[in-house]
Amino acid sequence: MNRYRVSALGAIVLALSAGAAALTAAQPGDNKAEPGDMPAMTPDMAAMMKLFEDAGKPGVQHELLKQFAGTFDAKVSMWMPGVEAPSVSTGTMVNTLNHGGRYLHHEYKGEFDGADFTGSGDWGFNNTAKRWEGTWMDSMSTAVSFNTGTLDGKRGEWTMKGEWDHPLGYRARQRDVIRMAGPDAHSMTSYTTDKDGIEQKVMEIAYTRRPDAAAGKSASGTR
Amino acid sequence: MQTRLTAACVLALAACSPLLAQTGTTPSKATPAAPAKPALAVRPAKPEAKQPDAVPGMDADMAGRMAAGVPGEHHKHLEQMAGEWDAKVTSHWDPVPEESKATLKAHMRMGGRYLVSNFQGTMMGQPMVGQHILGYNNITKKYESLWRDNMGTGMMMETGTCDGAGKVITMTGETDGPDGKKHKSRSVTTIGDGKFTMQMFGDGPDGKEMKMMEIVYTRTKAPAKGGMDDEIDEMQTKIKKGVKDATDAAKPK
Repeated sequence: MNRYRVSALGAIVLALSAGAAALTAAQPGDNKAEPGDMPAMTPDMAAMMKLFEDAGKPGVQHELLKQFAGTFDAKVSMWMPGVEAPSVSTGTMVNTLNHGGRYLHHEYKGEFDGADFTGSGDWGFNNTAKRWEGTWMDSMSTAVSFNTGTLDGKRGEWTMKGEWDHPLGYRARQRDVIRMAGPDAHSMTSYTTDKDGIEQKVMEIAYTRRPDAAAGKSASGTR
Repeated sequence: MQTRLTAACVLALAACSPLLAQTGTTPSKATPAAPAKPALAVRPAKPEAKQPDAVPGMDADMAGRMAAGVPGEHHKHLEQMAGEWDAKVTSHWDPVPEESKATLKAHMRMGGRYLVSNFQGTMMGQPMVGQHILGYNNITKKYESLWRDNMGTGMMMETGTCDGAGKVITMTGETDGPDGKKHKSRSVTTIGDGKFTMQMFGDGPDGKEMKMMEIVYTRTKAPAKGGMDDEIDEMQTKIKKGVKDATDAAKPK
């Protein structure tokens, strides 16, 4: 499909500038460009290019993703409506830095009701929109999830929010809070708001870094 | 991690069903909860669980969620694009269209639910690596896609529909540009025999839609059996055994 999304966006904005350049070029007295020549970069285009380059560079926020790189044991607690005690399961989360350190990629394997459960996602910071962006997909759903959020640096706490369509025809709201608990541990607590506007804690995952495996390796193995 | 969004909802909510099923005393008769069946079928090691019928009102709810998680005909459409492809990319935003070559490795993931495509090419002379995720959301009845790459820090999401035969998929989206404006996009993917074409449109200088890019993909390899799901499984097994560098398998390729 749209394999060229972001660059497509670049293309769109460049086209805008190129259009401006073309207009400039068309003014009387200008030299005609030969076919095949690259249009000269106007100050506008150059500025636009710079904008794009800067927006595309990983920054301080992306540095923060590095601390999540590695392999983590996960303990998952889930709360069902009307049941006080959580159901608990375990899994493994592998986090790698991808796309030149711009995204933290997640590969999760665990269980659900005794059967295999797999999930995968990505987490990054959008320099343009100035927000954290996360995606998720898993083996129990058909939705491609996208959520956005903020970081409270003092608390070492991220809040990611999203909405999803409930099969019963309403829009459910989701809030995930990610807390650092030292270099080798973090947690995520998930809350869902139902159609009556009531928010409930539905899940908590405690991640602990596995001392073995390639824990340190993934941080350096960026692409 | 943070993105346990669906996981959270789906898990916590879908959790009701199996748990109820476990405590249920009698196997339910064929109820409207029947769509739950295929969902359970994706759990290979488990005998068919009983239908939830213990809590009134829960069945329809759960059946909906379970059914929403089952891949269907639209997910079959996605499979047409699994495999390895050579790509010819033509950029149309320059006065003189520019051509470049690229490759694409696409896998179905999560038990046939999502098409994950890894793109490698060049963009304005720079090496470009990108990943595209395409799914079909049974609840919204829309195709959903995400793109991200090594040239930007923003993800791009689009939604869309397909024609009756699943041969033409049209997606639209809107993204914040670094210029502070919203930029609309539309893409049309046309699937043929051993090839498919993606055309990408955006707002032109005059505000009218114009073609920005066209990519023609030609198949070079059929999708591998098991594909990336198997590779990831293997990685997880290696990690449990403490094998070094096992996480490399999680990187885009």
